[in-house]
Amino acid sequence: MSASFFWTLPVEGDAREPSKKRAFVSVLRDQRRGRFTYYDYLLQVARAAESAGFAGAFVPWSERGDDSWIVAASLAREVRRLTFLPELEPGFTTPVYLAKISASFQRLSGDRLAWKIDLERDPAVRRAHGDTAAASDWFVRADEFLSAARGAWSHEPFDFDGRFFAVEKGGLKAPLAGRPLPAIYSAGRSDDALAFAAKHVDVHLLEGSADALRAQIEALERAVARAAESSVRLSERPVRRGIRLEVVARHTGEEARRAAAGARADALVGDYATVAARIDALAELGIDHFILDGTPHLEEAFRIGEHIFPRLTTAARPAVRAA
Amino acid sequence: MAIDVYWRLPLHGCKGELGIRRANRGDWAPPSPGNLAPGFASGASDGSTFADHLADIARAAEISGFYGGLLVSFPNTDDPWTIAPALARETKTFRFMIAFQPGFIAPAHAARLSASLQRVSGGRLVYNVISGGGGPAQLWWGDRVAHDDRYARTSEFLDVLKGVWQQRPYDYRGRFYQIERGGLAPQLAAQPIPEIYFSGSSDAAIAAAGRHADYYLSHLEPWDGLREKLDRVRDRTAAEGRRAKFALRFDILARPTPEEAWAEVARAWQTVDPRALARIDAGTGDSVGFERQRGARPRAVSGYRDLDVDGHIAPGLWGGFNLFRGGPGIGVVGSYEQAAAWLDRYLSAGIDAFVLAGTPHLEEAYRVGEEVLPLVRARVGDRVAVSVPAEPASALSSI
Repeated sequence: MSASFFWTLPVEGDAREPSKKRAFVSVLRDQRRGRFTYYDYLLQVARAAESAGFAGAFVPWSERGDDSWIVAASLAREVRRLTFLPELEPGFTTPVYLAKISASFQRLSGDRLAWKIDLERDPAVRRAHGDTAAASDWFVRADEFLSAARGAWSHEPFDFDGRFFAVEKGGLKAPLAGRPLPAIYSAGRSDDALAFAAKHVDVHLLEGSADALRAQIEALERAVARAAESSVRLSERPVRRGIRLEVVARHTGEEARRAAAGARADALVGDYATVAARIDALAELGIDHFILDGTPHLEEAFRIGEHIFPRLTTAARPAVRAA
Repeated sequence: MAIDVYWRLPLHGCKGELGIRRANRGDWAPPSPGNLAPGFASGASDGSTFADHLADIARAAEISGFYGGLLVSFPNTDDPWTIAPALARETKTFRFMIAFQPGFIAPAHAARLSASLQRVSGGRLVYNVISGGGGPAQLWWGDRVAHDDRYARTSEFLDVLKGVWQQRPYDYRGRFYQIERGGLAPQLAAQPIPEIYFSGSSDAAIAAAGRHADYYLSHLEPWDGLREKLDRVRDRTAAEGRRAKFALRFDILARPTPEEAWAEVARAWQTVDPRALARIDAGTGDSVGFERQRGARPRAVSGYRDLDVDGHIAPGLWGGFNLFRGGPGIGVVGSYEQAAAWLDRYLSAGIDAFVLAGTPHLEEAYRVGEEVLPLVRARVGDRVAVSVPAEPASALSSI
C-alpha cells in the first residue's frame, strides 16, 4: 500500500506574476518584459511537483483565479507524468460537454485527467455565474450531472431524461469512447455530500482535527453501507479517503511557526519529523489521498519532496502514479 | 484594413488524400500500416497522440502565414476547449478560432474559460459561434431548444458573456440566463474579448448576427444566392448601427496547373459510392444553411464535372467536397493562379476574411501559404473602391 500525493497549483497567483516583477534600475539590461506570462510560472510549479515525486496537480476553481480547466489543459502536454485534477462546477457546462472535453483531454494526455466535483460553492458565487438552482435542488442536479456525464462516457447509444438534463441517443463514439473515466473526487461533510460520494466518487476529501476526522470517516462509512444496501453505487471501485492540507514545514518548529504567518488556521505546521509523523498518523486512519498546498508553491513542492516524503513510513510513501 | 486568412484545424481527423474513405491520420480508422498520429510501429501504437499532429498542423499554418485556424466541433471530434489550451503554449502567432454552441456552456463560465485562454495565449482566442444544426445531433448533445430559440439563446449568451467581462457587478435577467452580481476577476477582465465569427443562414441567425457578429462567416455558396444573403446580413447589421464584415469558408485543391488539380478530383471520384451522392442530400436537422447547399446541387450527377459551380463567372469552383467529408461541398479546384483569382474576386466583392482548408491539412497549409496566398493581388485601396455594396455581382465577375 502506498499513498497518493497531489500538489496544488496557485491559480489565484503566488506573489510571482511575471508582470508584477519589480523592474531593475535602468542601467541593468532586462529582457523579461512582455515575454512571460503567469502560465510560465504555473508550469514551473507543476514541473517542481513532478520532480518532487507528487502524483498529480490539483487545480482549484476560484472566482478570483484563472479557470481550472484552462490551466490544466494548457499544462498537460508539457508535464509528462502528473495527473491533473481540476475542480469543476456541475452547473456550468452540460454533462455531455464535460464528457466530450474530458475525453479529448484523456486522448492528448495519456489518460491523466481526474475530476474534482465541487459540491460546496457559495450560492452567491454560483448566482454570479448564472447558476440559479435552488439549494434544495443542488445535490439532485449534481447527481444528475455526474450520472449523465458517466453514462455519455460509457454507453452508446445513451438516453437520459432528468429534471435538469436530457440526452437522446447520445454517448461518445470511437475514438473518443473507450478511455478510462477520470477518477472522481469530492468533498463535503453534509449527509447529501456523503451520499453523493457513496454513489459516484472514488476519493472523498475529509477535513478537520483527528477527532472530527474519525467522526467523518464513520459517517462516510455509514453512507457507503447505505449505498451498498440499495445498490446505487455507480463505480466498481471502493470510496477512498482523502484530505486537503496546507503544509508549513521547516527544520525547526520555531522556524515553521514563523513561516506560517499567512497560512490557514488548520495548516499542518512543524518541523519535518513532526509533519511527517502527522501524515503517517492520517494514513493510519485509512487516509491515502493527500492534496497538499504551500506558499510559495515552487519552493514548497521541492521542500516536501526532499524533507517530508523521505520521512514517511511505507504506508504513506507516495505512489508516483495517481490511483 | 487587413485581410485575415485562417486555416482549418481538423479536430475530426485528417486524410492523406481526398479520396481515402476514412481518416487515416488520427485514430478515427482502425489502426493499420500507413496510419499516422498515432503511428503504428510493428503493430503497436507509437505513443504519439492526435494532438501531436494537430500541433504540427497549427505550426505549419503559422509558418505559412495563416493568421490562425478554425477548430471545428462535432460530436465525434476532439474538443476545441481542450485542444486550444493544450496547443496555446506551443504556438506563437496562431489564433484559435473555437467553434462552439452556446447551449453547452454557461456564458459566465465561457467568459472565464475565454479570458484564461487569452492570458495563456497572449490574446489569440477567436470565437466561431454556431447555434446547432438541429435534429438528432442536437439531442445527442442534450439540447432540446428549438431552432429559432437557439438563436435567441445565442444572442442572450453573447450579451451575458460581454456583460460579465465588461461590468462588475453585472446583473442580467433574461429568458435563458440570470446573473446576480457577476463579473470577471480583474486579471481576467483586463483581457480583450475575442472577435466573433458568427455562422447561421436563417432569418433568426441573421438577426442575432446583426447584433453580435464581428464577422459573418458563411460557407461558400453559388454567388447570386450568397450575395443576396450577405446583403441581408449587411442590412440587418446596419439596422443595429453596426457595419458587417464577411468571412468565407471553403476547401482549396490547388496545383501548378488546372489539369493536375482535376486529376486529383478524378482519382478521388473513383472512390465515390453512387449511393453517397443521394445520401449527402438526406439531412435530418433544421439547418437553413444545409437546405441552401442542397438547393445548389443538380438533380442528376453522372460525372464530377456536373458539380461545377459558377462556371459562368470563371472556372475552378466545384461542389463535391462533401462526398469525401461531412459539411458543405463547394470549394476551389484549379491552378494556383485560378485559386488566387477566386480569392481576389471575393475580396473585391467585399469579403474581409477567409477560413480555408485542404487535404491533407499539414502539407496543404504549406502549399496554399507558399503558392496561392502570394498570388493574391488585392490591395486595400482597390478593394474598398470595388466593395461598395451597390453592385457586388458585377465586381465579382469583372476580375
